[in-house]
Amino acid sequence: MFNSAMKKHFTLTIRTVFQSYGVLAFSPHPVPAAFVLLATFYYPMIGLMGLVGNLISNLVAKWMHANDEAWKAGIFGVSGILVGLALGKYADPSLRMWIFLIVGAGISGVASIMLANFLAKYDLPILSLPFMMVIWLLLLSLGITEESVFKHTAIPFLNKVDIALFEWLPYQLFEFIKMFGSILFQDNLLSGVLVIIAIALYSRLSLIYGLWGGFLGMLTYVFLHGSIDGFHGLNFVLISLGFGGFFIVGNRHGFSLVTLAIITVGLVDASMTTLLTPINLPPLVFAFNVVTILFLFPLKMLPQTVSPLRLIPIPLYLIKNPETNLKWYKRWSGQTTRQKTILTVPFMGEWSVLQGNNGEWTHKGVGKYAWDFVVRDVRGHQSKGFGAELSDYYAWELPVLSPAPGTIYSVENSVEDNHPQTANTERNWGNYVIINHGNGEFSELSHFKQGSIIVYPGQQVNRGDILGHCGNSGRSPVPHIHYQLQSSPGIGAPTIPATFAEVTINRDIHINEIPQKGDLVSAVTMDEISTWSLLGKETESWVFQTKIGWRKSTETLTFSTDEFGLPAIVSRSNHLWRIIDLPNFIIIRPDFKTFPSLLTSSVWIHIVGDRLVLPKYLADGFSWNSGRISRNESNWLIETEGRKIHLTDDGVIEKATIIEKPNIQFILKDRIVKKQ
Amino acid sequence: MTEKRIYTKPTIIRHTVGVMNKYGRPPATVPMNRLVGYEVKELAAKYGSPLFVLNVQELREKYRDMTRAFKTRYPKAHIAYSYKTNYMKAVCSILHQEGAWAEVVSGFEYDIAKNLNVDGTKIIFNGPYKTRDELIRAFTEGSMVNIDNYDEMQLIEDIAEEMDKVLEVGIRVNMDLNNPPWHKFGFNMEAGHAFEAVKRAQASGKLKVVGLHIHAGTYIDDVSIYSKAAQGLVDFYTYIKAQLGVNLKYWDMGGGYASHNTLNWAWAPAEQTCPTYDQYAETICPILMNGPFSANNAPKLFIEPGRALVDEPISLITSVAAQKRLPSGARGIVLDAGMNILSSVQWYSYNFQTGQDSGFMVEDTVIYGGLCMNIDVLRQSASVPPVRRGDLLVIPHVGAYNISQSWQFIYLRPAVIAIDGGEIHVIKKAETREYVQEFEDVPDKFK
Repeated sequence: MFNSAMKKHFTLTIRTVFQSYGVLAFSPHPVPAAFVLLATFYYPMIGLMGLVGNLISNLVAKWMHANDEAWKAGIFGVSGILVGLALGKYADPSLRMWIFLIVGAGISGVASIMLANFLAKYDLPILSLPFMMVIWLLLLSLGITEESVFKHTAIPFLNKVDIALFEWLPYQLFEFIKMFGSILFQDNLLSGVLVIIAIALYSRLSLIYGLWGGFLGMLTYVFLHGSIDGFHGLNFVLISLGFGGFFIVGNRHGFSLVTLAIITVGLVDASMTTLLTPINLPPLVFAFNVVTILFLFPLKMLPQTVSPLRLIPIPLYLIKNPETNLKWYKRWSGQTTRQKTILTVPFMGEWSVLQGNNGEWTHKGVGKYAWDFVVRDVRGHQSKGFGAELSDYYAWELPVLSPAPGTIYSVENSVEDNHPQTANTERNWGNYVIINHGNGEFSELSHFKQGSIIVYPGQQVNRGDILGHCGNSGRSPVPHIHYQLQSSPGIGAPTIPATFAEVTINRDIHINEIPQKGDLVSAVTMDEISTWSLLGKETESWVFQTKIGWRKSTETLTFSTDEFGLPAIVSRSNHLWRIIDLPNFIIIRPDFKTFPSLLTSSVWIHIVGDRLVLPKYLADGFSWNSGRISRNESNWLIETEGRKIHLTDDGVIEKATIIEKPNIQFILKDRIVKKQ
Repeated sequence: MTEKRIYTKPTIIRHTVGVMNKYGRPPATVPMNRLVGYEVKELAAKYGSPLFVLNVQELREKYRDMTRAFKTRYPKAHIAYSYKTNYMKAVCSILHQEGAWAEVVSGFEYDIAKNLNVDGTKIIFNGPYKTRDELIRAFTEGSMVNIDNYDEMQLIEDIAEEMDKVLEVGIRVNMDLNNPPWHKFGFNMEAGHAFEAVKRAQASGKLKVVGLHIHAGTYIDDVSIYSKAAQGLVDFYTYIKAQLGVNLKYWDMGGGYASHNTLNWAWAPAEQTCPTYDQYAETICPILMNGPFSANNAPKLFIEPGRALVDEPISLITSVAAQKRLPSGARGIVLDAGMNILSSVQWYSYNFQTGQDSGFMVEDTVIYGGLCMNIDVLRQSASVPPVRRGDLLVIPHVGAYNISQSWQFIYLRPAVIAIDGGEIHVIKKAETREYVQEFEDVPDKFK
């Protein structure tokens, strides 16, 4: 009797098991997964063993509280499948072997989750490392018979086809195609064809990389061994698929890296074969795993600076097929600023920066883009009296807020608070909250008071919602808030350069600013006198009379939305500006495709420039670090970063000028309200 | 040359050294020879006695400390300084420099604020009696007006009709917080009057309720009263929001925050009982933050401290006019300052510290003011070391009410000086007879 919850659970598990087959060929999608699954059933018994291993491994991972998203991606089943397939190939079919399989798959489930949790910190994939950890144990204790594969019966018809093809095709081509099946430890042509189809279905780029990997791998093998005899190319295929636009962006530098990696794999595999043959142990996918980690780790540890990198590792949770990865990269690198999350400070009132970016104590290396905030009184002290008690500190128990909207990703709430001036270096992060902002960026806030966190994983939070209360847990000698923006959800993951979108620093309002050590920092709170905003004007177009030098023209700005449904301004349909909505300001930014050129007659391009900052509230005399508002007779004047914007009372741009370019005119001519 | 030692006139008194009551030893006296870096003796010599002395830096620090305590828990908190505690122009000006808004309770105070160039939108107009003209001025200049009673509401409705626009108002509410309860100000919540008032204002079509004001009392050192008041406001707002669709722009927790002065009927000294700004803020803000709104749309929060800001930064220098033995055997001293400039003696047991080196042997002393009135007793029993005529005493923490409530009677009121960064400014000159009698006239036929 299935109830609906069990049914849902069952369907999910089936999907995950299925997905695991796709992951095996770097094609995590149900359709290619089906082909990979078929490819393992050349020997039905071995295929079944793979399936059983998969199921067990996945279930064990689930049972051990695997991260839901990672589990659904199917990465925990990969090693289970491989254990099944490898045992099929290298062990005698017997009851004893089945028991080994069940136990082995279980252990590989545990190893998978262990490695996943460990490597998450570095945003590294677990690959088939768990399989490598388990299979040698199993084979060494079970005893290897090289020929055991022949004790399984292939599907007779397929076997015949295979033999026929073997005789018909040139030997090298046969080996070449077979090589793709060997990633599943299959030694027949049909499995190879199925895997090639799976890869081709998932991504044409992957296919090209795979073929290149196979070709170069064969050459390498021949060079190292003198002939093609005994060729096993699984590592070549895997490494070329992995680095071919999957783990790193497939640009020309990526291609060079793949090539280098393929040759390295050849070397590692050749040496491992020499090393392991005396003890009768197959090197399997050792070379692929080692070389992948070797090449990927340094790239993942690179600081994410604003200047574009040549070799760009793709955050694991963002990986799709190489084509999509490339698109992602183009969009990402084209933005003038990488940071997508609109951050406001995670506290109420005025706090002081104890340690800023690149701080002297702990904000170093991959963790350098972080801040520590404390509260100081008028004399600069963090506590009353001698600060012997936690409750003497002003920051103690103050509310800690969500710096941007998002979903709570993880929470630690059980670390004890330290006495003042002592620190817990075993659990550095203390009590923390990680927020997924849903755009590839994550906020990490640390050192909450034990038990004070009131949000739970999966909960949606808004900007300014209380997450918990400031404490002194973890590596924290005095109560403070640690904040960082990071590119992946693991605790201690590499930080990314971040600015606060609007922030008051030393009593002045700044836009997109990085507070420095010693700065007094608070949120921007405006007493709204009169609200104005370009947002929500989707029904309007404004026609302007423009002039650059002698060129007179008209330009129409239309308020619209971009492909994500976010507000944008469109001019002549080929220029687009995004309206970035901060709590108290808006920033108008050109899309990365919008550039001024000689042929463009758009004047608005010049007026916006790289960005145009406008306040949302109109109040006479209000000012921020790069602009101010004043009230004229009948309209408002916003002076912002060298531009002067005149507004009518109902918020229509009447006139815009650039101080440095007096020959530019931009004057409202007409206002068109579209009919709904 | 040896220094002349201080002579104490021989008296037989009961020694109580070493005898402890349940709070510890009897207080020892600490001479306060210097005030804000200046010799008390010099100040008195130059500016006369009695003399009020304002420590400007301390006042600024108090304001900033209180702001920090509230803003780190409720970002839209604003301090509206309660003018009535001390509306001296310099004091208000310093606080406005720091960013304080003004809380006034009469047209006179309103005028003081406007005279100091406070923007009308930064004035909160409270108080049970506001005249028609004052109200018109307040509404014209954009001030926040909190309605105290139905007569006032009627008056404001008339004004709205006259001005031909919907006026935004606050409603003053009260609830049972103290014993006896403060029912004087505003409309009672328990009796349903407050709800009726909001309903009537909304229904009038001329008023729009955008604020709520509660005033928990005065000198409240029990923070639980504030937690009750805050919860009361939250519950009431939730109710009127649901029932009447009221959306608040501000709510106002009123004043009443205590200072380091021991009440006459208190058992323990104020140093032990007076809550810190952080304790007040921690009590009030989290409750209000739970109100019926999202974190980013919280209404502004006003707090109206007076005493808690200005009491401690101001001290009074006074000199001994005479001393005498009373028939009971107790010692009495007469000061040149009376309750005309220390009206708070009816609440506070002030400390009297000598303004010069003195002997250590303290004696319970009755301290008389200089007025020719039997009631002018500044303290029934204070521990004071031996003093002589002309010796100076310093009374700390006298900034609240004493100056604004002072009365003329038989002496001229003293000067007030402000000490700031090593500079002395006379912020109020000592009064003269001419000044006091300026508006008087004797018609010729009386001469």
